[in-house]
Parts: sequence; structure tokens; C-alpha cells
Amino acid sequence: MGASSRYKFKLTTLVLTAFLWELASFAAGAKYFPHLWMVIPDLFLVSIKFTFWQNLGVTLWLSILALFFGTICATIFGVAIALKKSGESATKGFVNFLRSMPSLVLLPLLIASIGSSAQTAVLLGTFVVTFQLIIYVIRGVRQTEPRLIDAVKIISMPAYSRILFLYLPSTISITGTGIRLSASRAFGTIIAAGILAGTPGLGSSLLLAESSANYPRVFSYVIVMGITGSLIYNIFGKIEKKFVHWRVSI
Amino acid sequence: MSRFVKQVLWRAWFPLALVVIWQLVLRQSTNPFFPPPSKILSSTRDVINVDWIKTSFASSMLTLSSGYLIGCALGISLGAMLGISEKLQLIFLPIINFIRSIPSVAKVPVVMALMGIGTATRISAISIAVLFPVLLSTLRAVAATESTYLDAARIMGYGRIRELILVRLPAATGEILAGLHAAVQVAILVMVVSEMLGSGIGIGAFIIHSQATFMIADMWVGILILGVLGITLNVLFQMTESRIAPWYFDSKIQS
Repeated sequence: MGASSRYKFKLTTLVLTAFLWELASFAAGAKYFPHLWMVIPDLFLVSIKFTFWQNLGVTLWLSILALFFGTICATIFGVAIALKKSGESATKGFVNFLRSMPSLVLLPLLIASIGSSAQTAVLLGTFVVTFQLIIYVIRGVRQTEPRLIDAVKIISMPAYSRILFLYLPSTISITGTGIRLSASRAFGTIIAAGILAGTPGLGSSLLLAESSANYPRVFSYVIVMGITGSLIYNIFGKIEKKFVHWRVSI
Repeated sequence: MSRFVKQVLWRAWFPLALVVIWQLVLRQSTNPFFPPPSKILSSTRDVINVDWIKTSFASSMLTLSSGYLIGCALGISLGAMLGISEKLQLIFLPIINFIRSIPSVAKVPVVMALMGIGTATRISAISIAVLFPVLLSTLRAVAATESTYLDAARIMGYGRIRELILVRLPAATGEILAGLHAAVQVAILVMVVSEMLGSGIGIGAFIIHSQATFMIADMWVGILILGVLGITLNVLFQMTESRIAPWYFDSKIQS
């Protein structure tokens, strides 16, 4: 397809988006679904404010922390579980239970016990990432090349270097996909904690705009979250491709 | 039979041990937020009665199932439509990808702003959250039908619609089911969030209410019920998946 027709499609997308947006706005009433000409100037107003960038930074930082701690927890528990065959069957039900549970229901418990601070959000995010990722780590360790396992047994490699130089590197291809998906989950969880519990970041800004019935602002924040979310998804996708280039990701 | 019992015991010892340790450690504890399992059990008996099931539980299940079904139906039909037309994909995929990138919980306040806080709002919020993952997995699967199948359809003289219904969709069953499975978790999440954000009805509202009135053991009951709900739906899905599309799921490592 030529470059000019690609631009034509992009232009169609833009025009269509604007048309659908305005249609929704007329259908729902401009008060609750503001027109584009109300949202775009507001988006600009928001973007020149220092507090907005601060909130965005806080959200991203908390997401990164949650992803970091979650990855560490998942790796430690995942490797420990996967190395013992009995470990996996014993913990399977437990891990699946925590994975299937909508993690945000823990939020009221966390708020009641430790308050609604940045730590609450990070703790919840860490929990989400850990149980999302642990399955990938277990699967990765399980798929270690059997001949390599035999080889390290023959040279009687000590346990810690076996983990460090054999099992962890062979999980990376699978864990990479898990980390990419977890990054989006961590971001979503930090935002959700802000919306539900007022923990610092973009989520609580959205909550504030909503409760003061400032709907153009609500839509501005939602657009910002969409942009940030897709950036995170794409960036982690690129990182994964670069580091795990030999494996086609799912 | 004894092998089955052994397997069950082998799987159950770890969770059971956790519960026993939890009970032993927190039996004498005065920490109000982490009650021992015995206390949660006695609250369970108080909480779950006919009234509660009729109001909170039934309401949650109703919104969850109707929202999920509407979202899936829309997702599959739109995904199938987009899957067979590259031009439509070029136009609509950027919009769909963008909306999908917005965290599902952040869409709930927008839906609430538009529709208030009734049952219809909760159902719509769940449908919207379910719609996009289902749409994308359907689209991807329908667009990637094996070319030999399509050649066969062409030889049979099928038109586009017939090809979609008789060839592309059946071949995509596995991936569509996987998308439906992934959407269950999102649906439960959005259900809880929309109930927590001021509806006053449902399991999510029950949890928030218990927290606000310091009935911490009741709150734990709500949390555990949602966990049980999640894992039940998960297991049900796994069972149906390998029954309906064994060629797709049996080759995958089940997690």
C-alpha cells in the first residue's frame, strides 16, 4: 500500500473519530459528554499545569515500583515453586485463587489497615503483578532445555548458579511477555487505586474532576490515560522484541 | 479412586496448612483487620442468608451475566466484521486500540457520568470493558485464518459471508474462547468497581459498606466470595474450552 493511501486511511480515522465523538455528545447531552471543542482546549489547559505533570510522574513511578517489586516476588516464588514438582501441584489452587480474585477487592482492606497512601497503591500493584507473572515464571522454568539441565548436573554446578545461569535466562523469553502484560496491569491498578481510594496520581485527579462535575476535565484525563496506556504497551513491546528477539511473542 | 484422593490431598495440603497457620497465629490477635478464619467462618453464617442472596448476590450475578453476554455478543460480531475487511481494520483499529489502552476502571466514571448510577450503568460498564478484548481476539483470529482453508472455501464458491460463518469463525473458535475467558476476569473487576463507586447494591457495595461500618470479618467474607466466584468461573471455562476446541487448548500448557 502506498504512503498516500495510508495517510488517507489515517485521515479517515481522525474524521470518523471526531464524527462519532460529536454524535455521542449530541446523543448524551453536551453537559455529560462534552463536545470536542470543549475537551481539546481543556486538554491544553491541563497540559500546561505543573501539578498535572507531577501527577502523571507519580502514577508512572508508582507503576514502575509495583512492576519492579512484583517481578522480584514472582521470580523468587515462581522459581521456588517450579523447581519442586510437588510444589507446583500443592500451590496451584492457591495461586489460581489469588489470580482469579479481582484484586481491587483487597483495596478496602488495605485502606482500613494502612490508610490510602502511595504505599497502598504500590502494595496492591505488587500483588497484582506477582500473581499475573508467577505463572509465566513457572512455565518458563519448566521449559528449560532438559539437556542443559543434565549438563549442569554433570558438572555439579551449585544450586544458586544453576538458578542464576540456567533457569532464569531460560525463563526470560516467556517472562518477557508476562512483564509486558503486567506493565499495563500495574498502570491500570495504580489508576484504579486512585479512583477508588484517592491514592496519589492521575486516578485521584480523575475522581476529583468527576466529583466536581467538571466533565471536560474527566475526558481530558481519560484521554491522557489512554495515551499513556498505549505508550506503555508499545514501549514494553519494543523492549521485549529487542531482548527476546528469537521468540515470536504471543 | 485412591489415586484421586491422593491427588486431592496433595493439592489441598498447602492451602489447608496456610489456613491452619493463619488460625493459630491470629487466634489471640487483637488486630481488627486480620480476623482468624474461625471468626470469618462464623460471619459467613451470619452474612449469607436468603435476604442477602436475593439482594446483593443476585444483583451482582444479574449485572455480571447480562453485561458479559452483551459485551461478548457485540465483541464477536464487530470483531468478525472487521476481521474480514482490511480497509475497515485500517480505519477502526487505531480507535479500538486507543480505547482499549484506557484502564478499564477509568472507563467506569465516564459511563457513570453519562448514565447515572443505576443497574443499566453497571451493565453498560461491564459490556464496554468486555467488548474490547473480545473484539480484538476475534478480529485477530478471523483475520489469520489459514490460507488453505480459504482456498478451499473459494473452490466451493463461497461468498464472503458464507466464508466467514462456515470457515473463518469455526477455525477461530479456540482463540475466540481464549478471549472470552480473559474477559471474565475484567468483567468481575468492573462489576465490583461499579458497585463500589456508589451504587449501594451488590457484593462490591457490601464490601465497602462492611468496611465503613467496621464489620471487618464481613468484609473478608465478601472478598472470599468474590475469590470463589472468580475461580469457579475460571475452572468452568477451562473445562468447556478443552471440550469445545480441544485442538487449540490441549496443545497449550494449561495454567
